[in-house]
Amino acid sequence: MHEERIPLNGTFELTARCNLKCKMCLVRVDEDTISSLGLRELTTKEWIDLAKQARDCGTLQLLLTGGEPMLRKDFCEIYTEIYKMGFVIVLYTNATLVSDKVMDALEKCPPHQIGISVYGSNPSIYDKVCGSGNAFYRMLDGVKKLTTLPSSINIRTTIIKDNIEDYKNIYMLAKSFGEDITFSRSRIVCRTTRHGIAEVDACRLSPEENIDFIYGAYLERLSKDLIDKPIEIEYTVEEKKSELFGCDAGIQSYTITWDGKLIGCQLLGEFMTDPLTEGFEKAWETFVETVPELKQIDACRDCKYKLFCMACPALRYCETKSLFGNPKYLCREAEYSHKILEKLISTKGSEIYENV
Amino acid sequence: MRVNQNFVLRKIRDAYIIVPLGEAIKKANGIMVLNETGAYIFEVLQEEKGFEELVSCIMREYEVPLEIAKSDASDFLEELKTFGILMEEE
Repeated sequence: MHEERIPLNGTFELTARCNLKCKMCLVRVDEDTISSLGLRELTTKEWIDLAKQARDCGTLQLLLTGGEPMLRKDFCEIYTEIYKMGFVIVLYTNATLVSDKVMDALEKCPPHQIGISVYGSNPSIYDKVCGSGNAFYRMLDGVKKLTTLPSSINIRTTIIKDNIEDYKNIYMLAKSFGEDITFSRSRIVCRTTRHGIAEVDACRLSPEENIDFIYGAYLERLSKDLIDKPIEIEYTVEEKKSELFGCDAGIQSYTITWDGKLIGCQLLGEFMTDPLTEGFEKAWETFVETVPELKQIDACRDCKYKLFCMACPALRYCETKSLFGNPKYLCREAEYSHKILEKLISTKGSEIYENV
Repeated sequence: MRVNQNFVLRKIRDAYIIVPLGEAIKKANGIMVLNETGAYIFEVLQEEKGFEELVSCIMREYEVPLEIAKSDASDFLEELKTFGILMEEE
């Protein structure tokens, strides 16, 4: 079992801290909380050593993220040393701390991809979402600098109540940064993981609003297709891999948390090993032993909406702080998806809707 | 000729992978997977070598006749050039 495990894709959470205070942040922890928990972030040397060990164990792609990684005073040193090791480097940043020193390091060592989070098209939205209107101008300045690099750039956004009305403007702004720039948005805003301090419930869209937002345009197109020509819809539920979490987590990918634990993915807050004391290789090898067998949740077994359900162990953990919890937000999303598809098809008088 | 030092050879399990770094990331536009012979040539060309010299190395390493070594080497070198991996003296 697990013979094919190889830690190809790594994520290093270089810090939990951030200069912004985004309402929906998955990870952010402030310095006071870190101290009160008796935890600490890793040192420069610890990150560089872990990267060497990860490289020797087969990590090819490495995502450097946070918090905001550029907030670390030693960001340039960690970044440059890790870059030279020959990873495919992806760097996530909010682009508000792109100093001349950082640019000097990135020009010498351009990341293969930079994911830049952009949460509004003006200072007022930035103030509402991130707690700083001025951050909008710093982001614009940062993006201007980062787009001079040969890196591929992906603008990433997350939509909450405070910026949903601004979504089209955010998209237009992202497109104005350059022709080759890609744009993506989060599918779901989940509750914080581990020690994250954001109050996500207060700001995220309702499950119904989120489905309308994510699939609205798609459903409009589908609706037109149904008028023009009835289509066959076949529903199949793919058998998920039974190993570990049913995805690549712990099989081909891992995260090293800001306090130095090896976990399956960034959403998770349980099942961890300790690469700082055991070494990366042993921490990776023994990781599987920490994960219990994940059986299907009783409440979900006969759920008629499961076809539309996107719950995975990690999302369950974020939403309920248990791998076996019932993530109500996702249940409501699934039920609503079912309803709107049903309504869409019935209003078109189609007879093709079966098996759901 | 020699390989551009902006390309790093990684061996991950049985796979040989070239990762572009620095300015090379734009032109290379991705990673390149090599077979064992390709990886050997890449290693040999860490130092400046002429074509005949490279062919001799391949013949010795793999015990293949001159014509096969020449043909394999020139095909592979062409590919390296396409991705900006090979640097030739003007």
